[in-house]
Amino acid sequence: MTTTPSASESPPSTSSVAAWRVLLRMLAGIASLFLFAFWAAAGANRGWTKDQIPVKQIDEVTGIEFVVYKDHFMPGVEFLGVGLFLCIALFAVTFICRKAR
Amino acid sequence: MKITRLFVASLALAISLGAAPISFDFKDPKGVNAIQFLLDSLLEPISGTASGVSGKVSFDPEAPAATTGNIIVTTASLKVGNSTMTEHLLGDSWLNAAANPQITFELVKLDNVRTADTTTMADAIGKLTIKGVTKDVTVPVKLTYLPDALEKRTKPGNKGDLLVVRGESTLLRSDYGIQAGKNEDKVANEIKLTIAIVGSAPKT
Repeated sequence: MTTTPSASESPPSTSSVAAWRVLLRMLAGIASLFLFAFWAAAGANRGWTKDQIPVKQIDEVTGIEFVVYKDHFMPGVEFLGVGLFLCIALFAVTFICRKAR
Repeated sequence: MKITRLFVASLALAISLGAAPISFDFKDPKGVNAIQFLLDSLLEPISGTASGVSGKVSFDPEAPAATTGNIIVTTASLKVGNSTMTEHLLGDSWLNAAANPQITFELVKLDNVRTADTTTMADAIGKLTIKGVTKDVTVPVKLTYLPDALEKRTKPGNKGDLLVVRGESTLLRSDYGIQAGKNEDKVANEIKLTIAIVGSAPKT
């Protein structure tokens, strides 16, 4: 014979904590994908992050090649690295919380 | 006889005026003048420009070897593609632009001068001052004299000549006390400079 536990007897917090854990993991996954897509779409710059990019121009009379800086954000590998590290940290936090409980 | 003397005197004056050195102002109204710098770093070479160029050069097309003058670069005009890096570059531990507002090159003489038509190749020997440290340097340069070309760059009726100076040089930041012996695994000690500047001499 089986008995159905009443609402007051069921563990109250387990399911809600698990849901938050899943949500955080999903958030970390989505954020890392978004971050990678943003970095790739912005030119997959494997150098340092730039907030101004040099545009070369030539003075017609003298033939001098000179540079004009244009405001343009181009994320570099350190931007991607720090972002992915934060995503992994967010993902890892869910495991730490479980162990703590 | 008097007329002959007068003619000779006038001719001598004309020749002496024609042979007089021309003073070229390197503060370019079009903002083209810049010295580009490149130094290797951990991820990629760091390139930037120093655009605040000014100074005067006295150049005689008939005697290029007698060229003298100075070129001044405003330290605060140095710029790289990342504004945080630019702040570090101009900050206390690197160039300290607040305390050292100018980088100067005093041209002492031109050596090994070779002139062909309006182009002169030479070694510019002078004193370069960065961050308060002055060193003797030799920079191979190419001077191109463009007579009556100012009008083409500015506005009709603005008569004058242009002098284009190009050159390349390499210096060590440690020589000028710029983070000497520090962070060389991250940012190279060697800095490559590319100079391409133009001076103008309006005719009044």
